[in-house]
Amino acid sequence: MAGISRRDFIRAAGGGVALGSLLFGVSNARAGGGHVVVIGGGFGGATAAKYIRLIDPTVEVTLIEPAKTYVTCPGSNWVIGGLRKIGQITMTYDGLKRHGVKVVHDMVTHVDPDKRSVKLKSGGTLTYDRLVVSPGIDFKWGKGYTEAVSQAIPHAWKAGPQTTLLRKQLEAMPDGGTFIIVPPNNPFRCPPGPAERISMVAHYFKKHKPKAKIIALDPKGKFSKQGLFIEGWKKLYGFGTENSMIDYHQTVEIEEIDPKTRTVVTGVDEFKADVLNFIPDQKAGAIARATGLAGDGDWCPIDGRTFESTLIKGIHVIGDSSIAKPLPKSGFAANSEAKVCAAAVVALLQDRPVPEPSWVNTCYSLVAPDYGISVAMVYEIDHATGKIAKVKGSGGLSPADAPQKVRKNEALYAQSWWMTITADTWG
Amino acid sequence: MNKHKKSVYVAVALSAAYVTAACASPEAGKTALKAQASAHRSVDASGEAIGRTCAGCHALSKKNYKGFVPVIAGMEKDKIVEKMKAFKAGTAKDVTIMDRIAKGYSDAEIEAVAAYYAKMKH
Ligand SMILES: Cc1cc2nc3c(=O)[nH]c(=O)nc-3n(C[C@H](O)[C@H](O)[C@H](O)COP(=O)(O)OP(=O)(O)OC[C@H]3O[C@@H](n4cnc5c(N)ncnc54)[C@H](O)[C@@H]3O)c2cc1C
Repeated sequence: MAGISRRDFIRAAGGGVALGSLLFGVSNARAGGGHVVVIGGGFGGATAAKYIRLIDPTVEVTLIEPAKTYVTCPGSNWVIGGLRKIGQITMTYDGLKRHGVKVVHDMVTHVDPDKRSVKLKSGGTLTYDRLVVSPGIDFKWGKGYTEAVSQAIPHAWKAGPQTTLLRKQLEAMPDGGTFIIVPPNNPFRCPPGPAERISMVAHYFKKHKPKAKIIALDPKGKFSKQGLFIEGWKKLYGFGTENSMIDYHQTVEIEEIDPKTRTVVTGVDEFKADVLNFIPDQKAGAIARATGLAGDGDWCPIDGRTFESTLIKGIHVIGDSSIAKPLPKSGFAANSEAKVCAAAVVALLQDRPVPEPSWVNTCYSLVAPDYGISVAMVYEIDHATGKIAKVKGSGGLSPADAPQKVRKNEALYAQSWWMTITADTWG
Repeated sequence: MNKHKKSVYVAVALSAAYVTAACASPEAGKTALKAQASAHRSVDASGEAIGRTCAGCHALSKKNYKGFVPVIAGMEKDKIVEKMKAFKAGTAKDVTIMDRIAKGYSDAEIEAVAAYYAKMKH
């Protein structure tokens, strides 16, 4: 019962929590029960919390998440393009509560791996038998782009007010104006995200501001689903012609931005935007790094079979914060990783062998409301190396030069996927 | 004025090469090869472990469901197996994405995941 008073725990957990695991001491192996604390109620954390309860309802699960609602990044580009309202992509935690997850709206400020406890901003402390950490990403501020600057020049790479701000700026921009997007370096959350955003903005401009231009200044030499996006941009937005709405520059050396004039200074030239969307480079969420789960790096190494940290025992890291290559940093992957992690956590609590994992990822993108493309893959553990690997021969991109019917189906599937994954995660 | 114009054309040229590479015959040949050599997992996963991943796209209940992806929960086992094998072999009609995904599983895994969904009420 290291360092926790019963009163603190009850206060932290909002009262009424069964204290079995805490009152009868903490042990790693047991016939049932145990207390799992989950940090973060996003795609990874919410799925893990729910599935641990589904797999073994005798395990107590406490999910710590500061926000009362969660705005999904998937679909946030659709809001930017005017296809959805922000309320339509906003989730609550009522579904998780129905599964018996104790949802505590607070922030974890400190993790003590030796005492197996977490400290909350409001003052309480919780102990855990196993801890699941899914805090998403943090940004690497710099090059003139700071957190303060992001209040005027949105990154919109965490959905919510940032998404709304970018949408409002695009609405207020005059026809003939220039929208500039600066995608981040690898690795970052949602590899096809910047190109989907460009597509959605192009769709909006085509309808409402046909003289407006989009300039992408990408430090990288290629981007996810590049061939498919460009095929779509050629069909829909005149890409590659004199009248192209989109100018995509690659291997651009970004020197700095001047927030006052919304100018991007590159190694070669200066670009002035009416609306600027700067997406900074990324690293694991602060609590993961502060706990030491990233070691000296930006991201957290894990054992793919369990998602247990290879640096700190008893702590599992899932979602964007983890190094789960070749799985991408996506909501779909975070959900899939969370299910493998949940099954492993339950097995470890019961001192049983960890089940053989299996993962899927599909990243859908809309090039237009009725034009969807995807990249999919099935993953397994390669038992020769113990690492996560693509199943050879599986997965891949939507076919090139496919008939419009295929693109339309994938657009319907993209929207269908959003409904199902959010119900699977928070429902 | 804009010196980056050059890199746009590079980008277009690059992308054309990319598209060609993705659909021209060498790649198509590779795909055919892949189809034969697919899904040799070192260890099979359970129907449950695989089934949970399907739930990212396939809703587990028809109640209030307004999506377009078919609900497979409660479907006959043989029907699921037949469909998955057709996807895996590349003989299914009206394919969107399942041909790419079905290639990720051994025949035993397809049986197992079909049994898992067949037992489910929806
Ligand atoms: C524009 C855009 C479009 C995208 N589109 C798609 C898509 O179409 N498909 C797809 O699969 N993925 C998509 N993604 C990616 C997807 O959003 C992420 O990969 C996913 O959210 C990762 O889940 P996570 O659990 O790691 O982090 P998150 O979902 O970010 O959740 C982290 C949570 O942890 C909480 N948290 C952080 N620190 C603490 C703390 N100390 N204490 C308590 N709580 C804490 C945060 O409040 C947050 O709610 C998109 C991303 C973007 C930016």
